[in-house]
Amino acid sequence: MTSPPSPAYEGVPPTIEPLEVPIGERGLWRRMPKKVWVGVGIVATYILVALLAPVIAPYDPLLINPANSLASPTADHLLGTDQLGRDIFSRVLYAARVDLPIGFLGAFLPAIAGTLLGALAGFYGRWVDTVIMRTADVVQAFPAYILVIVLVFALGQGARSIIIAFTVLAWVVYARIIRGEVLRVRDLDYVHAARVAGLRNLRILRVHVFPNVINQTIVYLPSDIVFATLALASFSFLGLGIPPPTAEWGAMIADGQPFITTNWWFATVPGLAIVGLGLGLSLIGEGFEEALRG
Amino acid sequence: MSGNLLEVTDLRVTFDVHGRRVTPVDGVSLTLERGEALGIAGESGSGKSLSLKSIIGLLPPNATVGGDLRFALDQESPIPYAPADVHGHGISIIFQEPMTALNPTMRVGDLIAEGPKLHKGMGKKEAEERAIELMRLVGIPTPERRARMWPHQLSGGLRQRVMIATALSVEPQLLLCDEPTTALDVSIQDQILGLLQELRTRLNMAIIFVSHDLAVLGEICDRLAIMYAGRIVETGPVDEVFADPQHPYTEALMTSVPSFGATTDMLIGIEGRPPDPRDFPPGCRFAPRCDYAQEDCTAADHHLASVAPGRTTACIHPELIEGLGQ
Amino acid sequence: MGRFGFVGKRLLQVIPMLFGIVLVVFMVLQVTPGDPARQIAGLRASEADLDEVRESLGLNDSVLEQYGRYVGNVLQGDLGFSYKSRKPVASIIGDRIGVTVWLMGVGLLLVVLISVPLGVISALRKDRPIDHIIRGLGLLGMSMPAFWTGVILLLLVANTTGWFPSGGFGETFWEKAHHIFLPALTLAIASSPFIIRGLRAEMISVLESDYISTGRSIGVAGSRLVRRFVLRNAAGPGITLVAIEAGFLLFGAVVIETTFALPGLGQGLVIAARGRDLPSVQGYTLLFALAVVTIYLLSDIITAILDPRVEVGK
Repeated sequence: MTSPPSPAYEGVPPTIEPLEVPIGERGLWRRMPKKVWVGVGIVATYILVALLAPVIAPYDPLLINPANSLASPTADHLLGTDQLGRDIFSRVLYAARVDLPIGFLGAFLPAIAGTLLGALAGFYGRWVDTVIMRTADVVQAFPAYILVIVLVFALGQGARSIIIAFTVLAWVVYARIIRGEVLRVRDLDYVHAARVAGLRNLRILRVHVFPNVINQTIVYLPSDIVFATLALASFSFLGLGIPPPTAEWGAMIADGQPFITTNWWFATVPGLAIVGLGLGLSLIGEGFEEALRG
Repeated sequence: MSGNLLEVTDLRVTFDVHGRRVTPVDGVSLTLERGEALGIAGESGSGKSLSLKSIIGLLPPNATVGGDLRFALDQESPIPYAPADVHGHGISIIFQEPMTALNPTMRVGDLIAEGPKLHKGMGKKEAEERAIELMRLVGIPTPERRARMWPHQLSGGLRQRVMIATALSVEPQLLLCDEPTTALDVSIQDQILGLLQELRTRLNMAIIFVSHDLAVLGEICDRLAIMYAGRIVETGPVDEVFADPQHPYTEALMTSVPSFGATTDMLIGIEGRPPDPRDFPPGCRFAPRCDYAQEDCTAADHHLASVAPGRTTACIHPELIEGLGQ
Repeated sequence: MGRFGFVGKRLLQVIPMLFGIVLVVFMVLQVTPGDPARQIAGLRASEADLDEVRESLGLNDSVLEQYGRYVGNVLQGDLGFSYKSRKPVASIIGDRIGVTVWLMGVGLLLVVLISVPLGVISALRKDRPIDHIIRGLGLLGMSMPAFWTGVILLLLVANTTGWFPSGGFGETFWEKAHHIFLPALTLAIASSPFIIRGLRAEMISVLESDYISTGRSIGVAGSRLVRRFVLRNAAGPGITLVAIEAGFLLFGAVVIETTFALPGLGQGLVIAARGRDLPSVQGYTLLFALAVVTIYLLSDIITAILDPRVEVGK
């Protein structure tokens, strides 16, 4: 999986002092489709909500009030209350503080791990390359979600297990991209020249490899965040994810399902929160892909 | 063998690329008589292939075609047509790469039988027999056996013959050839050229042959049009153009003729690169690379003008061309 | 012999893969916290009782020996006994497998019925309004958690119309079909967006190829062009797409069976995982992995049959 050569490298002379290459292709940001900015707006809103939840939320998300359980929406409780009388609106807001970081970590950690392993494989070659890439083959041959279930079972319930499981699975794609890019760039004249000049690999990586790879990474990253968030919600829904009483969207849907006929908003709204985040991220990923292809 | 078969006037192909309009074919006009063979020569990116594809309406959907296209199928004189009208009716095309031009999941006999089935109302059996007949016509040995084969089981030369048989299956009066010999071995090239020449006289079929290779064009064509940067810069009978080029680009093209059988259409021998269609230079588009360029060359657009009977050039200083010094 | 040689080779590749999967599952579960002996013997069991249980389970042997024994047993169809119900895992799986096969079968059927037309239309009308609508719906579908979609379908369809049961499974063929429809639809909504997206890309690349130009130039158009020139060329990659999606489909089944209270393998796996019932988890995982590997194999074979070029391939 090698990437098409980016115009950023064309005509770069073999100088001793490597030229600073701008991140990504020139003008890429300018021809980014509108949908990317819509997506960025949506995701930024979620991040704001997560940060400001303690300020915006009218109630403590864990405050139980059995006397007022399963209440319908009122001015006091915008989305009513759950089976334990907790304010659903506050819980939906607070859940962003759980789902967002875990979703992001579940995507960023594999990206970082994949980048490091891919760079190692590309730069050192030989047995390092063989070990890393064969491992990648094995991971890819394995039915992905089954591995997540087994890992979560083995590592125990909770966010940590899900993040680890995702890292074990998703690093492969990034490693392949980075390795391909390193191999391509390594053979270019100016990197030889840079080597001769005593530049450390790290700097070569930062100046010559990273800018090209970042664009492709941004295409994959949003959908991985969506997957990680969906998986977290799914595991919580199944009772294998975030343990109660923490507010988490998937767990809230599980709480709300028995009351779907009477209190339909209970299970519906947390789901809408997931859908909104997913849409925002998908718009970013898809728009970026369009801009890169065009 | 009289009267015009095809008239193309002011053909323009425009693409919309990220909101910017690009016009790689910019005002091409040409006429073709019944049974005539016209060659269009030019480097890659000159618009020669796009011109050909717009005649038969095979451009990608994001292309806009402007200008006037007329074709005489059964009429006395050419009448305007919509490009899709000629699919299977009067005009056929053969491509450069016979491997990618043949449907990989269709037996070659079935592919050739498509035309007769669609346009001659033939039944399955009859169409299959017609396909074998056509395969024999294009010189494929043991056609009964080969009709049952898949494209990947045939050699490059045989594939191109299958492509030609497919094109002939709709009994065209005009065969468009998009560098049909470029991807083939030299000896096979000769055979395919010979076959086209033979079919042309036998079926009284007109041909437009696009290539970067003047030697190939010289072998098969009556008349030549030289294209550069989206425009025709010179036309005339093949022998006359070869003997006495009236445009500096033609001359440059001839001195840089690649050896017969070169597989790319990148020409070496001319200084510089063909201009980017996104940014054509003003006036004569060849001027920046022209040895004879004068100040007035870049002043205004120059159109084809007659210099002798049957000969036109877009150059305003043809008298400066020294010739090839034979 | 060409194509059969291909299938044979592909079969040979599957066997070490299966051993690898069993090994990974086994190894991963070895590090699982918790003492199986304690789970079986109960909280009040004495240390001597625990030792006895350990000895009977072979837990005192080395990991390698345990693995060897496990593989041996698996090959004989013995997947061990559930810590919870004490019943053989193989028979528990046998009781539950029918539901999952139904769910996957009907789900896959719906996936194909939804994805193929939408993917084809989207590609044929690339960048037109209908394409934008289909792609927008796809993005929406990808963002919806399957279990939530299920809950919403229950709310909107089952509750308002009363046409569909809200959970459980039936006895007769029609009862089963009736019960499985909404869960299968949920599964299809969750997986179709990926298939539509992949199919669209594949169709577009086929539509841009030279042989389509050849077909059009001789007057093949409309549905005949799609049928005779496009579909068969796009079918192979399309089937591969569905196969790759199979792992995801299985995970969807796990979630959806729980949502709709379907007594299938997925629900069984969740119950086993919640109860930390190790032999059952092992059994289910093994079966799921086997299913995915089989689906990959089948898709390769179908692709080979569809594409005449695979004859001599590796």
